Amino acid sequence: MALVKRFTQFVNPQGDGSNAQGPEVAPSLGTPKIETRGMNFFYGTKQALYDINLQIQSRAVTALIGPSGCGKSTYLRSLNRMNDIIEGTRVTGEVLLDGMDIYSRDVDVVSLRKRVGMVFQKSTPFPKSIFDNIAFGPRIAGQTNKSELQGIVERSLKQAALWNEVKDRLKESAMALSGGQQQRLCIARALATNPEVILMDEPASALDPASTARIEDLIFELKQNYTIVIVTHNMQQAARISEMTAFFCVGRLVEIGQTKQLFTNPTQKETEDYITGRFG
Amino acid sequence: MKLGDDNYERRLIWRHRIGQCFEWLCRLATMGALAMLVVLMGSIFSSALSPGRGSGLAPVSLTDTGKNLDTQGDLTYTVSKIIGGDFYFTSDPEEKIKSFSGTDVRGGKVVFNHNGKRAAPVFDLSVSDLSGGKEPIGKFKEVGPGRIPSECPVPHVHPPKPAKPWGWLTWNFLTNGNSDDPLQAGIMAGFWGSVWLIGLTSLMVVPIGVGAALYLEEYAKPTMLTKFIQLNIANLAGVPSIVYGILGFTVFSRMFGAFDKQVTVISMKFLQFLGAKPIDITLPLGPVVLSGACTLALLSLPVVIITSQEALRSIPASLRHAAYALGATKWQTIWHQVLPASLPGILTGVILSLSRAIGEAAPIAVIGVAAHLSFAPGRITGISDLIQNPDKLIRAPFDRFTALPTLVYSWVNEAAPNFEHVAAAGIIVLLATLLMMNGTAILIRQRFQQWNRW
Repeated sequence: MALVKRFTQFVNPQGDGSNAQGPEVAPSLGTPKIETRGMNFFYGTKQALYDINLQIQSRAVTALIGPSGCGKSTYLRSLNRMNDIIEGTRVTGEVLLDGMDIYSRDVDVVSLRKRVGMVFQKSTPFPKSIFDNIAFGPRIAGQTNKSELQGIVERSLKQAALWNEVKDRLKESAMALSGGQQQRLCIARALATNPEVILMDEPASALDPASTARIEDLIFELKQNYTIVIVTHNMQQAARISEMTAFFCVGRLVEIGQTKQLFTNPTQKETEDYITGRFG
Repeated sequence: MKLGDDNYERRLIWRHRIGQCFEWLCRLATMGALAMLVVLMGSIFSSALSPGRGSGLAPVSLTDTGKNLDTQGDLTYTVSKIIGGDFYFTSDPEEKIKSFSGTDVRGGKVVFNHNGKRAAPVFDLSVSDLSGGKEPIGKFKEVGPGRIPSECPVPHVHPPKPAKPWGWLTWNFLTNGNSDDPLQAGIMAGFWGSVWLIGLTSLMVVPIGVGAALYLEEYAKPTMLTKFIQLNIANLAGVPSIVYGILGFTVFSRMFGAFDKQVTVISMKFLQFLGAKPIDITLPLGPVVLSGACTLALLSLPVVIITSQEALRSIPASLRHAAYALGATKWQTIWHQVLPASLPGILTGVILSLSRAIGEAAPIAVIGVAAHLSFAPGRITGISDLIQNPDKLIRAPFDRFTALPTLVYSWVNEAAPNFEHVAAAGIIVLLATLLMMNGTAILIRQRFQQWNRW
């Protein structure tokens, strides 16, 4: 039954009708999807994040910017506990997803990651067919019905704007796709598990301008149904696609605000220096 | 030194020449390796495909010299130092003869038994005319092809029909058991022995080896203990095979001498409804297929583990992360992504180590395998036999056997002539078996490799 429920959710993600707000509505008005309170992060003894308090709005794009090594990727990965894979990492403070602490004992990491999907900087298609790539997530979640899988694959690929390019070669190796197509495949793959949040770690940094534009269009489409957190080095990109922008520097959250406001009228000196290109 | 001055250009030219020299050296090395291969295969094939001379009785006649000496009296021939066979009287094929008369030859009473070594025999001959009471007519050395004296008629041995005109690699060779007669010796027992051996070995090696590699690479924490284990596996990979032979002999074949006599531990009766006798499994195992397979499994495990570990390590972390990010558990990630992606590398290791194992004669010989067997393991004679007696499939691992390399080794050591050709044919069968096995594995590897393009 749970599967059916998830499936119907998948077919009609806007079914609850609560997303009447368009992207132009100020996102700060919505309820926070993810909230971190006083979060510290350690790689062994080295502290990477200091006291992060941040709210991520539902059905909006939040961009994380900052110089290299400032901890924004670490923060992003801590939102679906991908950092657990690294030995010796430790988190203090709270990371709340819909009000529930994802680092509490009774949270199942696997089901958390199904709710919070992730797209990496380097496109990482599995060395399998395009179909198997997309179907991997639903399959490990227990979906074995072939026609349902086909439906999921088709919808995911359509959502990721890749369907028209690959519909005739679903059985071919995903490794044969171009870089931009591979990245969109990874997005489609993340969508196939029907997540609520999608984390993107510099998804377009390795792509050419045309592919980047497609990914950005895609993000613009997706934010109507999903909460998106994106790490980017490209400030124009952050300005183009995000509602909220958070600026990280040396492990601290320096400033968070609405994108327009942060880019035009930053409250902090560091932010201004960074976005005007004086450092970083 | 300026860019473009004479010195600089000279250096550039020399650098280029040295580079070309290296290129040619490498080319020569490749050619050398290829030439070695060609020479090796050529010698094996030429030996295996040289026509079998054949043995058996061949008629003897007297050469015609035109001098008509023999009509005056009866000449007596005494032969010595015969190479290639012996003379016999047709009346007594047991007794070699050294001396016979011209009348005997003309009457067809003398035959020559070729031993199959030469096309025609060579012998020393002394001829005398006893009827006339005269002195010996002559002594001739090394009478044979190309050296037939013209003074008097001498015995001429007709060559036998070649027994194996198309070489030694015949259907009979493939279907016969081993034999003392090189013309009858076959490889069937060894072939099926090796097939059983390698089948059981791979059944043991692949799950254990890949499992151990998975544990060491994915699950074990890098403690001192795992480092120690790693080091020892690497060392084990270099242990000579004879040592594994001793191990196999002690542990599997003899079982530490814990049993004074053969003890039946299990008597399987579940196949009795098919009319099969109970399958008795006795300890110690003795030189049976299972002991051999266990020994070869131990021998090839280290290589499989090491290469599998390498293959698992070569899978980029991004693949695992991508799977984890989709909500896969560790085992799902390993089973669905890491293992299929590393399968080509793992199969390479399996191919390498099993190829080594199938060609090993030493450990098999040490555990006490005899070459002189003429039945396949389990006494399986064919598919119809197997259908009638399916219990033989279970009996086979507990049956005595012989393997291809053991057979080849025993043939090489055989003093009797012609066994070198048999050995060459055996080597070809061994190589063909190896190629067939590797070909299957390579096909599987290709099938998985086509997806992998990092």
